Amino acid sequence: MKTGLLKQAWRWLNAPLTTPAGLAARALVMLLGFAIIHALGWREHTTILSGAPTDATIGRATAAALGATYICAYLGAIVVAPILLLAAALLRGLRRRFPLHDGGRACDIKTP
Amino acid sequence: MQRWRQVLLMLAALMLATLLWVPCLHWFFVPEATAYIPVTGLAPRACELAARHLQLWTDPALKQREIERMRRSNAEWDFMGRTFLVWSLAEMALREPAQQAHYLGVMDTIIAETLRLERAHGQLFFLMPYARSRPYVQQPLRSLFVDGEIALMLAARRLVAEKEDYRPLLRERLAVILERLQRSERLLAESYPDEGWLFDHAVALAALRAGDRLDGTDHSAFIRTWLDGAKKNLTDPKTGLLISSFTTRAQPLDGPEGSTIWMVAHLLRVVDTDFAADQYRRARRELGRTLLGFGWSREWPRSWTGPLDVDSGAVIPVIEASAGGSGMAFIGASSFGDAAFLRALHTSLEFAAFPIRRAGRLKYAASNQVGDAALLYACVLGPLWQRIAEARP
Repeated sequence: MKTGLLKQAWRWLNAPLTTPAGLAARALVMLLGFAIIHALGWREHTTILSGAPTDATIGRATAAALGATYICAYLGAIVVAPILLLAAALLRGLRRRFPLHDGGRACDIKTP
Repeated sequence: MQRWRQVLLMLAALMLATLLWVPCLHWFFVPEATAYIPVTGLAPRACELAARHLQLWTDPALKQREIERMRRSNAEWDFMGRTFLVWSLAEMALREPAQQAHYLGVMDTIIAETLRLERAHGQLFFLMPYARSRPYVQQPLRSLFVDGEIALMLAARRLVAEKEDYRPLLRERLAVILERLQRSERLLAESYPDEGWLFDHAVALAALRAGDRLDGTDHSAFIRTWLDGAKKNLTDPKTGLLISSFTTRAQPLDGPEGSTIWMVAHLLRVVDTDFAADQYRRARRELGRTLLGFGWSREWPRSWTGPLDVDSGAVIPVIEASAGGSGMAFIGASSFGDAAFLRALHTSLEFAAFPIRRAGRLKYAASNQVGDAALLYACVLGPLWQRIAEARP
């Protein structure tokens, strides 16, 4: 049972980008990634944008790398992930409206 | 064929989703106007920002750490963080009379420590290293940047409540400023060797006006002459905006800049309201930008591009949003009651400046102490400026 669920989740995460499941999976990965980075407290390092280092214990290059990673993850979660989720919903509707072949099977991998 | 159809459908969905999401994005960040415009007392955002700064100045270890961090990047920021905070506290003391004693105590601590550091290390302590690169034209060495801002700190403190110790200090400081300006053929003083800044001159003019209000002096004629000279010699012909920096002979060094002109327009309000309003309108047209609910300031107008520096801060390519210029735009928009632009700026702030709120204290992670102090100033400015403006003939 557990293995079956894991397999299904793994298959969902690996769904092709052209499917609703694939878009939603990538959005989820972005949101999770941002949640982890945020929980690690990397938001503090975005102070590098102002030209000021975060604190004396961390080098400027490290702070810049952490700050840049946080900014990318933030933009991914705030701007890109919602677009992917919306697109997943829209794609599902579009596939119903414009079936990919006569059988009407819109997706090569089932949308969960 | 099937695959291409899949790709096309996905692209169509992505495009539609982008068109739906991007215009809605600002809704999640736009604050209520009452969050940053005070109805009575202080606006909530001002309270949160002030709490953070007051904590810095009442916790010696925290203050030391923050100041060291600032000074590792730029000694000017240490100094300007102090001045913006003192000006803010003066405005807050007038807005919240019940808290006046507390605010005055912190102002006095900051002023006393700043004067002590100036006495101990000289004015170079608050300047960037290139101040030592060559001799100043006017000797002995003095920086209008330091003199002007200290004078306006002293005046702000006295405008809230008289402090006899500061009366001679302000008078002497203003006399030095005036003497050095008048000694120069073009009425321009240095902040760095043979480098004057409009920002510092506007601060000095506001300090002179505040001195008039406090001590019954009258510098109107000098201020008028200075403004006439600036309109003639320090104006960018393409935009009509005042330029940012120049030599003592009024040769332009930097053109108009967002990190200067918004604050200058605010400062000029107490010396020439119409000219200040004109500069604000031009800055708004040339530098202020809004798109999809977000607002920002360019550092340079389209007709001029300067080098990136500590004043401009990071500049985002394509939209040319400048961290320094946008920070100062809050002060301009607030001072001139430009509600729509201020709202758009605050929306951008919540979206892109990474606010961190802890225990009622607020700081913006993408900013620094001086940036946050300037934002605090934008949220509280008003009554002190009104008081200085009353001195206008």
